[in-house]
Amino acid sequence: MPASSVDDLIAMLAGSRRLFGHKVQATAKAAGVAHSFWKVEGIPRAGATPATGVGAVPDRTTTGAIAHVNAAGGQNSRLMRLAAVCANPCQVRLYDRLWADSGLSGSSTSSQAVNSAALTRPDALGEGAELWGEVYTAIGSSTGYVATATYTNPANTGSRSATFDPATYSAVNTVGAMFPFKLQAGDTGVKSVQSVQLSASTGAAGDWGLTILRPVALLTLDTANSGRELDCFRTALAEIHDDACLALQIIPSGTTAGFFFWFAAVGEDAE
Amino acid sequence: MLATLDAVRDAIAQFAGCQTEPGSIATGAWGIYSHWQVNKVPGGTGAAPSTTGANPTSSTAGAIAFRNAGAGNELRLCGLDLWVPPTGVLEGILHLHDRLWACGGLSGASTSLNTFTSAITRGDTTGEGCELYLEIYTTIGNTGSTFTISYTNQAGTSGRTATVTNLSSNRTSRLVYPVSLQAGDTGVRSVESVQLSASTGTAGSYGLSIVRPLVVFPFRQEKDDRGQFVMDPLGLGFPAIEDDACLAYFSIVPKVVSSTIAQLGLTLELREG
Repeated sequence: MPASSVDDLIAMLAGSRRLFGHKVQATAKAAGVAHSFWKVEGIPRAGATPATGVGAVPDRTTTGAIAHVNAAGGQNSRLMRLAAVCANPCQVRLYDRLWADSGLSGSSTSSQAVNSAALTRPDALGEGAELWGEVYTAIGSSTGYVATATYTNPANTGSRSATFDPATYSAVNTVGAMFPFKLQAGDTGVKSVQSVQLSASTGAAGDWGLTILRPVALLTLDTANSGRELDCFRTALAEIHDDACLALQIIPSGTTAGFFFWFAAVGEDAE
Repeated sequence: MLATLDAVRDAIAQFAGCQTEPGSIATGAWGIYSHWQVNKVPGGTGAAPSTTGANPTSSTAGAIAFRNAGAGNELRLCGLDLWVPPTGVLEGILHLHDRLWACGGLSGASTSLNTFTSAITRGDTTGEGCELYLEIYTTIGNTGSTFTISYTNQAGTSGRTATVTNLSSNRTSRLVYPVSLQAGDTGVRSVESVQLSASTGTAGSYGLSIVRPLVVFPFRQEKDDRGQFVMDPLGLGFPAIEDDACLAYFSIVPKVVSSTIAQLGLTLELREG
């Protein structure tokens, strides 16, 4: 049965696996703009730009993913601890990268077909999943456009509209920038994406893509160079699905990301 | 087994400790430093391992000494106290690990293939969860060169290739560099070879180390004015300490506060049950 006592937690901690890594100093981003570590070198190694069009469903063996071991049969993997230190204050997000694509133009105002590959973790529904944009080659710095993605929600209702408006966020032109799409009212996830369209050019074509992700844990590093951690209570024993493509994103308070070290412990309990 | 609160409470405790020699670790920003060669323990400080590699234990000079668990018992880390003088570096990361295998004495000027035949021998010998580091014992050169490492992963697949990630251009004594494993690999069982693409410019002495991380934690100044940082069992996660484990540690200092770490004292509370 799932963990339900301090004894269970102790047993889980005692059997937990430790993961440790780092990311090298990364390209400057605007303060407050989410920054993907997907293509930043370190441990894990830098990932590749995802496939264009329908994209791909990465997993724990994809270059760029934090390598981890699936839970034993009948067990669930749980995040027992997360600690990090960064050269600059930031918010750290550990997430499961469910699907991603690239090859979208930052200058085209035509509808750009996506028709995303089906999600797999833990199913194809995308309940609780979020939709983000991710920049692979710099696009323009204009904030005078709105990006609208047409998607299907977890209830399998198609033709839903998600939007990103940089005028209410920030310019997101730099490589590695990530930007969140606002789902249509009432929706609690994203099952698939059919297309995306810009209302105006960002100013440069560049190369950007969409990422469907499921957040696992959030950690705030409020002081530069000074670490913080979540223990097993503060991680709320967040579930890590089998084959999860674990990756990191930060939202820095300044214009640089700086060196970054992370540590996690993953335990198991019964389903 | 220490799998319940009662068992942890009633467990037999022992304390193991060490100190880093004053002024022995340079604090270049964001470098990872091994305390192996500067760790003051009863057996003396650690030395560069052999060029062919060896499996150090708790009785190897440089290891934090402790008493193995009695028959039928296990030993777990249940407390940790780190002390740094107020004048020293007061924030950073400590990486406590079991040093499973290490080689040293390799030349930073040689482009010859260095080969090894031994593997890890302690705990889960598949190598699951084990990390690989390049460790510098005597300063090598800074000339750009690639370290190509061939290893066997946790599944027993040989011929895997790893690369070294440079965190700094500095390659001074005691610096370690984490080695990025091939995608999907979750551990290292053995290293078969390492080769430089070109001379680094200085022979010095370097090696490779396979370690099993026990706990990694950030420490910081504001937690206690005296520079003392205490970790409780839940925070530590009750990592198991294998019989004869070669307990050692790295420190990572995010910024240059002073030119050296003045001193560092570490006490581990191990419980047996």
